[in-house]
Amino acid sequence: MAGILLEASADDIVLEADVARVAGTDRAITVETLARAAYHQTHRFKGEITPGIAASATYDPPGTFSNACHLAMVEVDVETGNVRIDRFVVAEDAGRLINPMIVDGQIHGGVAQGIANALLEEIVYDDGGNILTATLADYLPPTVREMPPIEIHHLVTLTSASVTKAKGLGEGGAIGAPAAVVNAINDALAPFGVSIDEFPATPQRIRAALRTAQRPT
Amino acid sequence: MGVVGKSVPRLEDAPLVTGRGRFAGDIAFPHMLYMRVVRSSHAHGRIVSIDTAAARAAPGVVAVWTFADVADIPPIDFRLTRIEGLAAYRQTILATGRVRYVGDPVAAVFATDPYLAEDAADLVDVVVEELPVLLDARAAPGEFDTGRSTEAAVVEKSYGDLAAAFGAAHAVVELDLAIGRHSGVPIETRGAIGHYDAGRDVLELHGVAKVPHWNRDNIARMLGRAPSTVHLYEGHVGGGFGIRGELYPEDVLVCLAALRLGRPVKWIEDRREHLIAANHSRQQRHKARAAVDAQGRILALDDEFFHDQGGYVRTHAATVPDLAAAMLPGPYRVPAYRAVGHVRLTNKTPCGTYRAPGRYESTFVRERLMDAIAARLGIDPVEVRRRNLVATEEMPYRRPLSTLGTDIVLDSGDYVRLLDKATRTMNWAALQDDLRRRRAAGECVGAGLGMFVEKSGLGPFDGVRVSVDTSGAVEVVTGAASIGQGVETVIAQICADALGTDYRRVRVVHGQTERIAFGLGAFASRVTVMTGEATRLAAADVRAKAIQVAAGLLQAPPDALDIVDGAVVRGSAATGPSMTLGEIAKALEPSSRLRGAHTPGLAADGWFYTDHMNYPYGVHAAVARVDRETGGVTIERFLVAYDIGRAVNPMLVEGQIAGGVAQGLGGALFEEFLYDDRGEPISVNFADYVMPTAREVPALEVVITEDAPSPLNPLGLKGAGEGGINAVGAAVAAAIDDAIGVPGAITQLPVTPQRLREILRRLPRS
Repeated sequence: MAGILLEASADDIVLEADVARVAGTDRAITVETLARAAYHQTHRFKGEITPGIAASATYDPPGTFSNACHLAMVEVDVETGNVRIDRFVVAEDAGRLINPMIVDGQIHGGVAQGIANALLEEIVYDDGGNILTATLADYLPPTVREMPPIEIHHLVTLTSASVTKAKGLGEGGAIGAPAAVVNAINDALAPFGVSIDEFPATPQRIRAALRTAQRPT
Repeated sequence: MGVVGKSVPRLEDAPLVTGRGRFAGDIAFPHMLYMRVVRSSHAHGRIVSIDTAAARAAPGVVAVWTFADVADIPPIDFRLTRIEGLAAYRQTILATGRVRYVGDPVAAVFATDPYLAEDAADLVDVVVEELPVLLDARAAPGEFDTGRSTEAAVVEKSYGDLAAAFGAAHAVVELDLAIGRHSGVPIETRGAIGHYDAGRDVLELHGVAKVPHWNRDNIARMLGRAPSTVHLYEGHVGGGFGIRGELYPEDVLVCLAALRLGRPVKWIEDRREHLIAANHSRQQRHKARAAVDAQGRILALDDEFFHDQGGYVRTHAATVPDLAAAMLPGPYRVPAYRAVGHVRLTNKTPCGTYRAPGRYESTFVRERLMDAIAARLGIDPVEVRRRNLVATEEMPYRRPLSTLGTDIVLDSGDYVRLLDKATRTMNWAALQDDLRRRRAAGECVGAGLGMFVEKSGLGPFDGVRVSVDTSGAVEVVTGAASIGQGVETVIAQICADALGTDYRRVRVVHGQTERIAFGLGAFASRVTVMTGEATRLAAADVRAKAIQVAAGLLQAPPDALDIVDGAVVRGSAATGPSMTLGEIAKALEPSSRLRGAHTPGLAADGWFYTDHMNYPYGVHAAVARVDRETGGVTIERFLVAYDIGRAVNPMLVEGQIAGGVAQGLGGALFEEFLYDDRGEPISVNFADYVMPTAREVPALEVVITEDAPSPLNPLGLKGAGEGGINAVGAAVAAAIDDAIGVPGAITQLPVTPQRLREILRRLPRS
C-alpha cells in the first residue's frame, strides 16, 4: 500500500518506527496515514490490494509437549492426620516464554488446584446417590493458608514444532502436584509402614492408615 | 431460472409482522439512565446564562450538562460534499455562545427515569438575549458570527456560452419558484442508546441507521477513541428517508455520557422534538430562465437559487444545493447552463438530505420551465419534452458537470421510449378528451406530467463477505445498511443466484460495525447496485471454490459440475454423486483431512468499485381535481413509469415507488414546516404538519421498464429508492395548472388549499 501511495516499488519500502519509507529517500508516509487511506480511501488501491490493513492466517502445528518436575516437602501431623506443605518446587520447560509473568501465574494456579486434588477436594455421594459436598464447607477448595510458596525454575528448550518456539503450559501445574504431594506424604509415613494410595489424602484417610500401623519401636 | 427478477417474498418480514422487531425503543440495559435534551425556545439569541442547579437537585437526576461540560468535543463534521468555507457553520453537540433555532440543544439532563429526566429538563433555566431572527434565505444575508455572513457558500456549476444562447433565443421564459420546507418523517423517531462495556473497553451505540461505519469513525474521532473500540449496532429502522441515521448531537451525547457516567444512556426522541430537531429539507427559492428556439428546443438554462440551510451546516454540508445544481438539466439536452446556489443560514432547524435531495426541487423547477415553454410557444407539453430529450444514440452522455465526487455521465437510457410508454399507459389523448369534456361540464380537472433523471449506485466501493456454514446456510456480511427497503431480500436473491442455492438460505447481516471493517451504508440509492455487485462477485468466488473442492472429492472435472439447490451435482442431473454446500464447508474446516491445499472455510470476500453513478429515469403523470370552493386538491390518478435497468425484485421496486409517491404528494400538497415571525415553529405535531394518509394517496399505476440496463455493472442494475418521489411536485403542479386552466399558476409547493384558494381568488372571473 505504501508502494502505491508513494509511487515506488513495494520492494523498496522499509517500515521503521511507524513510518513507511522509500529506502534511502525522504519520501515517507506514516502508518497512521496509510491506515486512513486503507480504510477511508480504498479506491486508491483499487484492483490491486484488498482494502484495510489486515491479514489472517491459519496454522496447524503438529503439537508440542511441555514437561515439568514437581517436588514437594511435607510434614504430617500424626495426631490429626493433617498435612502441611513446607516447600514446593517446580522445574518446567515450556520452550520460549512469551510472557514469563503469565507463565508463572499459570503454574501457581495449576499447582494450587493440584494440591487441592491431593489434599482437599472431593465430590462425595452417599449410598442413595445424594451429593454430600454441595457447599464450600464440605467441598474444600484450597485457600492461601494451605498454599506454600512455590519456587519455579524455567528451562527454555526451544521447540521447532511451533513458530513461536513456545509450548502450551496451561495444565501442567495441576498434573504434577498431586503425585508429588502424595509421594511426599508416603515418604513421611514410611516409618509407620503405611501408605496412602487414594487421594485426596484427607486427615481422615491418613489417620485411618496410621491406626492400622504398628507404631515404630 | 434464478430468483433475480422475481417478486419473491421479503425475508425481513417475519419478525416485523409478528411484532418481534427490535427498534431503538426496544433496546435496554441494566442500570440505564435516560437523557432529555433541553432545547432552545428562542430562534436566535446570545446565551447569557444557564442555571442547572434546580435540575441537578431534582429527583433521579444524575447529571446535567451544558456546553461547558462538553467543550472538549469537536463539532460534528461533514460526511459529503465538503466545500470550502463551511467548517465554521458546523454544529457542536450543545450550543455555545448563541442559540440559532428553536430546538437547538443547550443542555442535557441524565436521570434514572425518562419522566424524571423530562421534569428536570423543565427546571433548567436558560437566559437568552434575543437577537434579530433571519427566516428568509432570499433576504440580505445577516451575521452568523462576528465577521461571518449567513451566506456560507455559493455553489456554482456552469458550461457553455450562456450569453450567446440567451442573445440568440427565440423566446425566454423566466420563473420564480419556491419549494416548501418539509422532510422525511419516519414512523420511528430517532433513538440512541450508548453503552460502555468497561470489561471489553468497547463503546457501543445502538439505534443507529443509514451510515453506521461513518458514524463509528466520527464518534471515535470526537471522543478520542480507536474506531475498532467503538461498535455500532443497527436494529430495525422505522423509516430512513435520508434524515434518519445521520450523526446528530444526541448520538454523540449518549456515547459521551455512557463513558463519563459509567452507565448505559438511552435517548428516544419524541414527536415534537423530531419535527424541530431532526433534519428538515427541501426549502429553496429558484429564479430560473430558459432560452429556447422557435421549436421549443432549449438553448440554455440559467438558475439562481437560495437554499435555506437553517441554523447550522450538518453532515451533508453542501450536498443538497450541489445535487440541485448538478441534476437540474435532467433528461434534456441543455447546450449552455448555469446554476448558482446560495447556501444561506437561517434561524430554523438545520437541513439535510431527504429522499431525492436536490432533485425533487430541481425537477419541479425544470419541469415548470418545460410547461412554461410549451405554453409560451403553444406546443403540447409532451411534445416539447420529447423534442428536448437526450437520444439513446447519444449515450453514454457526458454532461460537463460533477456531483458527489463523480462526473455526470448518463450511462444509458431510452427516454423517448419511456415517455411513449407512459403516455400510452395513461391513454394520454383519450384522457385529454375526457378531461376537456369534464371541464366543459363544470368540473375542475386536469393532467400534467414531469420527467426526470435519477442517480443511483454511488461508489466508490462496496465489499461483502459471503460464507457458507456446515449446515449449508449462507451468510452475507455487508457494511451496507437497511432502512427497511428490503436489503436482506435483494442481496439474498443476488447471492442465491450467483451461488446456486435457495435465497431463503441466505442471511444478510448489515449495519454491524464489529462484523465488517468497512461500509458505506444506505444512501443515494446505492445498495442494490453496489452491495449487489460485490455480493455477486463474492458468491461467484465461493461457488468456484465449492466446485473446485467438490471436483477433487467427487473425482470429476470442475467444468462438469454445477451447483443446484445448494448442492454440487454433475451437470444439472439430479442423479449421481453430489455434495451439499454444507458438506463442502465441513470438508473445508481448518482441521479437516479433506481440506488439502485449500484455505479453510467456504467463504470469499467480494469488492466492487466504480467511479461513476448510474442514472435511472422516469416519468410521473398526475390527474388532479380541484375543489374551487375549498382549494382542496384530489389526485385521481398517478402514474410512475421508471426504468430501473434491471429489477432484482419488481415487487420491492414498486414498493419503493409507492412510498416515494406518497411522500412526494406530501411535499406537493400538504407537508410544510412553517414558522411565525419570531421563528417559532408552528408545525410541531401531526395536526399542523399534515402528512398524506391512505385517503389522500390514489391507487398508483406503476410501469417498471428494463429498457436500459446500466453498462456499469454486469447485472445492469440501477437504484429504485428515489424514483417514486422525484417528479411528484412537478406533475401535480402541472395537473393543477391544467385543471384551473391557468398555465404557470403554480409556482410554490406545497399547493395547500389556502394557497390555491388565493390563486383562484385572484383569477379574473370568466
